[in-house]
Amino acid sequence: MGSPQDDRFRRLVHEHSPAVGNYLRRRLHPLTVADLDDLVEETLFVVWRRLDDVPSEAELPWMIGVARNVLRNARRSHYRRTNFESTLSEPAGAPSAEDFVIADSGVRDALVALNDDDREILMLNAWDGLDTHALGLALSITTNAAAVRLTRAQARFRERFAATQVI
Amino acid sequence: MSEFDERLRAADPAAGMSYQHPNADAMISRIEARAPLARRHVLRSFQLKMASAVTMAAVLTVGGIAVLEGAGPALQVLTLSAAKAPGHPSPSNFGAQAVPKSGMMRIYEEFDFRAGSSLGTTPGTAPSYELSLPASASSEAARLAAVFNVAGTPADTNHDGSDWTVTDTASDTLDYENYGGVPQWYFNRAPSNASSSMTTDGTTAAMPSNSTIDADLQGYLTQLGYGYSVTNPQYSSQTVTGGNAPGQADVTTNEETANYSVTIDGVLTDQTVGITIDSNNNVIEVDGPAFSLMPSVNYPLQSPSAGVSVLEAQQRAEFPPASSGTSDQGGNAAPLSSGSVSSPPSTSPGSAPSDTTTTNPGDGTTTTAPSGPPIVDVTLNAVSTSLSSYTLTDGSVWMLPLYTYTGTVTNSDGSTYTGTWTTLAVDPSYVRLPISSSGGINPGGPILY
Repeated sequence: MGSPQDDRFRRLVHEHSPAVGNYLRRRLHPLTVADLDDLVEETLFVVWRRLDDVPSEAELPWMIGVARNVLRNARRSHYRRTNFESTLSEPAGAPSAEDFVIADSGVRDALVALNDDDREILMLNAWDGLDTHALGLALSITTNAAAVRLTRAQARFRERFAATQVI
Repeated sequence: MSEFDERLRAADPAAGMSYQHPNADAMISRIEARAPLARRHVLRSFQLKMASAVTMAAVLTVGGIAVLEGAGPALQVLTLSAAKAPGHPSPSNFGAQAVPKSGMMRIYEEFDFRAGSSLGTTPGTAPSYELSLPASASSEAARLAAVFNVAGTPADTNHDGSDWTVTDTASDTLDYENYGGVPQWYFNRAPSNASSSMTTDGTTAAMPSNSTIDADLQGYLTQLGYGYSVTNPQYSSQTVTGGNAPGQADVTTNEETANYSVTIDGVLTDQTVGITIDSNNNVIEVDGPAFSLMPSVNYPLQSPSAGVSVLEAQQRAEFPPASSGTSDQGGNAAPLSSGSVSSPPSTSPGSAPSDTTTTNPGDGTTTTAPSGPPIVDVTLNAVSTSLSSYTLTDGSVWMLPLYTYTGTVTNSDGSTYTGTWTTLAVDPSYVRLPISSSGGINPGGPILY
């Protein structure tokens, strides 16, 4: 039995690290699955450091918000590194995000046609299961803005999806 | 759930997978050994520092009203709510900076902010505005629906009284949402009603001019009557082509979108308005904020140069330097064992990531591990002032002046990139920051590219 903080942190890790890991796995590109455990650990490290700030009523969206920033920084580091080392090649045998392609070509084409913001909020809702309040927390925007963005993204997705299905 | 939604959910590439860390217990031990919990008293001490001049204000304060010397007007002390306004750092943004561990990719950086010589040192004043928000969400939804010719009765979408949708028989929709902060509205025309935007030859249709789309929006803004202005249009065209089965024509959807920044008395705000039209100038989407303004109040500002000190203090509060002998610098995957001595890492600005050398008194061997985040120098050379929305603890929403600094970050390898950072411009004497178990502080914080 550890301190209350230890116990809470362990509970957070066991309850939410699968969802955090899945969130990161869906968005790894251009990183690889070899980076996944490190990214999860970095996310949880921030959670540990800021344990008092994790809202008890919205633990997962808060953690996904942290994971989002960790991923963004990791990508930035990756691009800077690859720019610096122009000859860097992809590690052999490490599957990239393209290995997790969306099999449904209609969905894939519709998603590709969306802008980044629309795509992200749509995926957070449909795949990560975040509602509008949680989306606001994860994306650092108000619930209002999240609801509007989600509605807008859904409308655009349906429009693009319909367009790709019309023959 | 529609077919679209079902197909989208079914397309989840991680469906059926459940991530499991290969050794969660070992990971927990590593994390806890790398750094202690952030000390809340440090955060609070920063808040006190941030409100240092509030000490002076407190002397002059009765019931939250500060009186400027020189018989100036009484000014309300702005007690910010922990609720986040759009565009402001939330707790999750704190993930942007942390400490890397040995053997992993370096993800984080710690910034050492300095005010460039071009930044002003003279405090000024600037208007702040309390927003007048619609009193009834359902009534406002009905009013907006009439503007966009959406005939129907507002429905309480989430059964919480905050999200109202009007949908007509043609499936055109109007949304109005007020979950705190600045309420937002959104109009969407059903795709079937904008079918004139589609061609079947795969070509791009000629689109209306930019002035046409500007006029479309101005027409709506006049009817909406909120009274704010827009500027800085960013135009983009989208051509979406699909349905390319052999022998059959593509279907191409042509759209043009313009996004504008909302201004108040000529000053940019954090609010935006967007409009999308098709090739026949049918409006497909429009969205924006729902507010009008109360009379402005002039608040003293801290100087741009002083604001840099606030940024620096905030970072120190978030990631205070560790005292010698602790593992707060986080360089080792394993904790420093008792009996070891650790040479504190260099933290000189602009230095390369420093190492921690640990000497084992037993055999005199040393091990060296990279330690601490790279500390990078940031000289902030430019600043602009805009208005940003904040919710106060009394529920009112204000547009307050915000400094946005631009600076060049120089990495230890000599490479550079540009970043921007923001902090509230209002003199800290007139601001009380939230102390919340879940919100942290919100002004300032990095926006990283």
